[in-house]
Amino acid sequence: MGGPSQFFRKDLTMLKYIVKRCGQAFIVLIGVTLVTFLLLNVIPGDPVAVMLDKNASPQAVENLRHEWGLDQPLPVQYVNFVLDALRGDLGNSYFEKMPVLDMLVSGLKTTLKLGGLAFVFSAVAGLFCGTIAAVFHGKWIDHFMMILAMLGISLPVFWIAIVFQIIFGLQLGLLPISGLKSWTGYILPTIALGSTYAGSMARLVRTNVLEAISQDYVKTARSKGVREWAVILKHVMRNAAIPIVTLSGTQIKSILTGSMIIETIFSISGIGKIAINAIMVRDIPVIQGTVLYTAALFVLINLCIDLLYGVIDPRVRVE
Amino acid sequence: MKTTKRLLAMFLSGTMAAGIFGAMSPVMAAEDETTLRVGIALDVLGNMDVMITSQNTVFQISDTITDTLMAKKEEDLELYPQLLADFPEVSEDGLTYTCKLREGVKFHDGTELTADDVIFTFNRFFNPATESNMVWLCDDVIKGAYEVEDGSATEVSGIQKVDDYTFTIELNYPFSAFTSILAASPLGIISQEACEAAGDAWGLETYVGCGSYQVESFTPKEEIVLTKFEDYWDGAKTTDKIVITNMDESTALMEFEAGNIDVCSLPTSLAPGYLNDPDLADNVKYQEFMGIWALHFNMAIEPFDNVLVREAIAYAIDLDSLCNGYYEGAHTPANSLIPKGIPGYNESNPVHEYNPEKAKELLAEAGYEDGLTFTAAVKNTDEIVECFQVLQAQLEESNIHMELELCDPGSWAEKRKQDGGTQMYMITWYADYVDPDMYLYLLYHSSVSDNFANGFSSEFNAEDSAWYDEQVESGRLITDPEEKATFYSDLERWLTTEYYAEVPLFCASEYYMVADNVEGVIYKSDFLYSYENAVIK
Repeated sequence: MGGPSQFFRKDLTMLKYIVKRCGQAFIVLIGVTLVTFLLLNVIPGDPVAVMLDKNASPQAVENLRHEWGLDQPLPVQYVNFVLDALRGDLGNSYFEKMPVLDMLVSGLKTTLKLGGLAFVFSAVAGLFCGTIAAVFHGKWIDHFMMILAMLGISLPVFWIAIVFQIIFGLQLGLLPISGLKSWTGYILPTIALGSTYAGSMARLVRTNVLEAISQDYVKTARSKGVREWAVILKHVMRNAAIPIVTLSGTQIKSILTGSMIIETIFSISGIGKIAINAIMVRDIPVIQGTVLYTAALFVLINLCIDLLYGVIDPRVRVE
Repeated sequence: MKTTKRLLAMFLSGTMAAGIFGAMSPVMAAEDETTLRVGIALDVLGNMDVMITSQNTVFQISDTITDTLMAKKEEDLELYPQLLADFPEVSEDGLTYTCKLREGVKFHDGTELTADDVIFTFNRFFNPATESNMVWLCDDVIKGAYEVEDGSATEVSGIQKVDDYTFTIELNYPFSAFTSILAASPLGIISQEACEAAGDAWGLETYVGCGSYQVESFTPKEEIVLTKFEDYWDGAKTTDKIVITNMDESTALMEFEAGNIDVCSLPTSLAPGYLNDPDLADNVKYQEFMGIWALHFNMAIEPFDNVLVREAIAYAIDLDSLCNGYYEGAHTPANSLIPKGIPGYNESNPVHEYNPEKAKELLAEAGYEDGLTFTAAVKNTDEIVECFQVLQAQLEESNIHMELELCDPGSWAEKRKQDGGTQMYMITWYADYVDPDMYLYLLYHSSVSDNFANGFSSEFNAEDSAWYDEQVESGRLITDPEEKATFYSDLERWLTTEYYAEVPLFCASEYYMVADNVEGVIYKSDFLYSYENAVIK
């Protein structure tokens, strides 16, 4: 079936689709920077007023405004920002005199590491608990796992974090209360950050496993005399693992943004803390940098997911 | 049901196990070298360079690394010469200060301190490229500082080297508080050689002073490790290392209880709990600061352009109930805008009377028979919001409705300006230099009216403004201590009990925690921790 021409046509459709989506992503990014820029200039709060805290001479104010380029018309300021950003120059922090890019990179390293660990933890824990619950369907262990999952979903992340700090850090003295000085420091923030996702994952996996267990192919495998653990691992789990892929797109994003609270509680300098501090003092280059990063990350993840859909489901391309 | 019971049992046994293991948790092994471990919020410590900040956290850390020409004693903030061999010699007209440096003082990089380093420090301080935000400390006083700020000169003409250890500072006008300005943290003397060599890395990777501790490592906003400087001019300190780690308040308290840090702050609202805990009560320390919390009116707009309304607010606030009731005695009601310990503070001043009836009468006289409604701009920090909520309830008694507009620090800084539109806000004002000038000049001289709603502006009140300017300017010339104290005390009384430019609430104070085996760490009354004299037993 088919021939070279049809193959080419198919390929072209895919290419068109990719170009279209990349173009949309670019427009979204421009829109985000524009909106951020306008909002920062509309809301009250003058970084010069924050910086020159006490009795500043008018000359000093003027000098600083000039130094920071705040005396130029807004459109010029915006164009300068975009052009510099395209060159990879996000400017220097007003208050720390440090290149914004360096700040973002160092914050991002921590946040990505923590977010990645939390994602792995929640996927493994969710898969494990969900499968166990399904295998022991209706038994006490099933109820226990589901209560755990419900707690994970419904308890606020900050509450879990603080309770963990008190029990494992203060009372038991087993794990560090704050900071990331050794690998043990990652354990509590990872679990606290991943708990919500682990809970929803466990529930989803349980449902899927239960459904899969009653399928004909499982019955067939069992009747062939395949051992129970092999049935679960080979036939059931493979199908139950699909929700991880489906959920991951949205969850990676929420883990990355949710790490902000965890970063504060565990005294970790990630991207979230950088953004909050910058907003407090109107450190405009840093705010723009973090917004640009977050927007770029979200756009990139969405783009990847959409492209994946395109690969998996050809109907999406045609639409 | 059975399942629930089992779950409950599991939870209980888990909690018990936690308690048992907690009691057995091992004490951290003592290291050979002595280390002071401090847990405070370091969000503002993105750069060690003290010149580019106005944050106390950076000041106190920089003070450990750099020394200043003059310094303040830890206990009472009395001035003493630190890098200077003696107090500066002041010419008869009060305009020229001749300063002699100590000889043989070493920087951490091994170079020796000379007058060139001092001149370099001052030139860099005023250089617009430095973007220092504390130049207001002395740019109008030191001759030639403005020229450096506006770029027409690169060196401050008023500071001249005489020889390697002597230099002179020339002032634009005699200013009796000038010596105390030389003790301000942003004027910590730095090594010219090290600073020029470091370039953009200054404050991020390198920071070289001649203080008692030198930088071993620095991770912005996360951690700074200091080691004692063996060649310190006043003899090396006792504790080998100071490690300051970023932690928010509640995390730091937990780390303190776990024995992982030695010093942290204690929020006033949590203090009663710790003071009542027999295990921890001895660790709680208390310090009253040379700082004042006060309500500031925007006298340029209604309703506070009317002195009767301002007076009514003063009568409607119950300072005794606020300080001894709400704060359980943690803060002392203010009887002056000038805090205790600063010349011009008068102990015999009464605390302003609380009299809601009188407040209502004054309001009626001012034309607000049916009550008064206004909005206050509230900086969104827990302590300030709580204080405003108490005041809001108190004012209601006098038929005054205060609406609170919560602002983040960025928008608050904008609003407090005279044209920022706010009617009232709270100021927390700490002494950067120990002199009444810091309060009565910097808050009210007409030249600051662009920055503060309460600065006298000639536009709305030419006569008062001109008179007040003249007063605070003449105050700067008084050198006789007694005359100075009386002068500022009288001026303060006029400002707060006749003109009612603001309502002083209380002198700020704070609790902090120090571990049993640590001595010599003090939260000084200028709002800065001093770590360098720590002794670990």
